[in-house]
Amino acid sequence: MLTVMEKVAVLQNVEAFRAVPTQSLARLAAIAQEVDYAAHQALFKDNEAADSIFVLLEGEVVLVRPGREGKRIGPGQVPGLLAFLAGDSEPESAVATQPVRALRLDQEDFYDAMAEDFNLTRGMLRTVVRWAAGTS
Amino acid sequence: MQYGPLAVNMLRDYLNNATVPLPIRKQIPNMLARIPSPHSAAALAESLIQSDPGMRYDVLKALNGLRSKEPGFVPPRSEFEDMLNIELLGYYRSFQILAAIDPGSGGTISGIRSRGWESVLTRALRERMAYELERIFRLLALLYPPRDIHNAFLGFTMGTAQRQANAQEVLEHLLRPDLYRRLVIGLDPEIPLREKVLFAHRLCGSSVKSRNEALRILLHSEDGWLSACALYTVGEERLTELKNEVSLVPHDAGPLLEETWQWATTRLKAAIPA
Repeated sequence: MLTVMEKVAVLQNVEAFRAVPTQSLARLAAIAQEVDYAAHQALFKDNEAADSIFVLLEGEVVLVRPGREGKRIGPGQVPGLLAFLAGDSEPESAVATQPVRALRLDQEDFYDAMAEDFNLTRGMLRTVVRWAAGTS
Repeated sequence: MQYGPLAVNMLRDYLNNATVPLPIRKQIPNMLARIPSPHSAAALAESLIQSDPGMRYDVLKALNGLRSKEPGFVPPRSEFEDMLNIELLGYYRSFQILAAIDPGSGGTISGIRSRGWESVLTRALRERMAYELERIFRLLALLYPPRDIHNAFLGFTMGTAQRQANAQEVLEHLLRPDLYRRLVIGLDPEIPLREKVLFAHRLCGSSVKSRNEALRILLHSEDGWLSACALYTVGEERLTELKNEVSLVPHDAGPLLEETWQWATTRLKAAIPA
């Protein structure tokens, strides 16, 4: 099992969290749970509530949206982040193509952490603004 | 004034009472700023010396807010100059430590966005230096025109090379030459790292001679986060030569420090041949 500091070392290199100070990442790391998925298992399915995000540590996931070709993503990527932050339902399914290890962050814990730590909130806001501006 | 000087005095006393829990004390500067008067401004100025850097930041932020609303309430005071000197010393000390930990960083705070991979410790040190620099500029904004100082701060921390040069020009025009020199040497990207380190050595009166010395300083830092990052680095890199230092770290200050200490100690033990 990873320690909080080991999780911070992972999270600080994830693009979505680059604007979040390391000490605030420790807050996220403390609530992040390590999870494993077998090949062909779904991390989440489309139209489900986007109440968790997954930071991929190992393996590969394919994002499947009806009528579109699947997009393959790997370690360091965070499927479902925008729907999670927006409080929407998942617009696509995420299915493991091989054994996957990930950190799962649940929405309520994530929001509690944001409420307690303004630097975390500001960092996430910067990420969203940069994505919206296409500068990330 | 709605609350009267009695309330201001009481808040000031609570703010400076170390037995009052920090989360409560941290709310007081903002409360004082919402009672705008020369008296509340003086209470804040008298409370600038705080051992907790976050608390110092809160007091400064409140003073900046008061000054922007009622400039006459917050005249330049000797406390601001004194604190500026202390913060500058702290900034150059951090600079020495960062340069020893990661000479490739150039000792600058501005690498977070442009660089690729960097260690948790290097990034944490940069972040601490960014907070230190913000406190320095907030102090400057109590002594000099706040708008110009704020623009200069943005120029140095977020701007392009051109904006940095403009910021430097503004500061050169505003600040006393000795203060300008002390501030800008650390920030000027044109000045080589070696020259900056020598300047920091002269200013701080001591040097940080090696990476291990920097790690030793951080392991025993009052800043629990930097201490945890240093422990992680020692464990990650299995720096067995620091095993004794690690054993001396007061690791019962919280679950993060405790967990990281246990992890680092186990890794160091495993790295030493039986």
